[in-house]
Amino acid sequence: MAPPAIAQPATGTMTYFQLLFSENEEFIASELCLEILFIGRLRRRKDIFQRTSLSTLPHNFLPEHTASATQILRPYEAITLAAMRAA
Amino acid sequence: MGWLAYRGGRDTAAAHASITPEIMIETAALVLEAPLPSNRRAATLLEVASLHPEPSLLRIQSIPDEEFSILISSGASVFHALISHTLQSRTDSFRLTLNWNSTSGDGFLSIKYPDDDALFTHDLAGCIPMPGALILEALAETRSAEVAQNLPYIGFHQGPIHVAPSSTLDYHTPVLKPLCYRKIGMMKPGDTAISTGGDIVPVLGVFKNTTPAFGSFAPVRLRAPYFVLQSDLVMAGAQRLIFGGSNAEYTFGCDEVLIPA
Repeated sequence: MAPPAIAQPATGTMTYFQLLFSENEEFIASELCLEILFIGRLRRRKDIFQRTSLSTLPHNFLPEHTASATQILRPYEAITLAAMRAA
Repeated sequence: MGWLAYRGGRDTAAAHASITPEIMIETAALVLEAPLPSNRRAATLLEVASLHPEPSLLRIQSIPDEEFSILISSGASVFHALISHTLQSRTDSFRLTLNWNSTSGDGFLSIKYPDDDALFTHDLAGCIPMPGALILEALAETRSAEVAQNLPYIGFHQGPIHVAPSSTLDYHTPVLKPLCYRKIGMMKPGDTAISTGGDIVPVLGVFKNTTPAFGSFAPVRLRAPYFVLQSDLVMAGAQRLIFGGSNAEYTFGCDEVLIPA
């Protein structure tokens, strides 16, 4: 059985994108729910804020994300779940 | 601004013609990813030396008590930095970013675990310019097989790079808007999207970053029929998916679970 995820062959660099919402919510991409950029309470850490990728946005404008209640699976759990779904 | 990186014996990234052994690099960043060494004794992750044009040395060591030490020497000047980290969870690899700016003398060192949101940082002072020879040597180092095993990825970036959080989705990822799908690369702050709760939410910002496509930023393709996908998605391994349904509920005892791609 072919695996649900395969390594994408890539050379050189990749440019990645991500969205930021005011709450820690998910958006829908091709019927699948994806997590948005999770920034936690990074806004409060003034010492490192300027060094992060968020520094392009005004400090006061940034939200604080609370951790989502959902649990994060370990890689083998994710693989098991994907296999169960496929079966 | 540009990247120069090698991975595991293969010379993959676009080489930077402007880096020659003779130049002194004043503002740049070095990124490396490696498996976490055992805590009991000091281990050298990377050690490169060069005699031309000046005797110089770059050494990155892991030392007991959960610290990393970085030593750069060039001619008569020496720069040394320490960063400590404490592990909250079991993780086997880390990403170390060293930013330096020798004109103002300050720098920034950070450690991040790709599996985790934890970030450890340390401000540096008195940075010295790094000889180009050391960078070239360090990148060439990973071409040998035994080094590549302990140091899967090392990258060099001209100009400072931002530390976490990093973006993880490919340009072509479709995002559901109130009326249509739009590619994430074409989204702008102020656009709206539909959240999984069914609400229309504004996009506060769109973040973009370019990295060498290896290590924890190696792209992964999720294939279409799995996970109810309509089309293939390309993303970095750190992106998390939200996954509901009876299987998830039955196995893990909660409505939804987050899974790393």
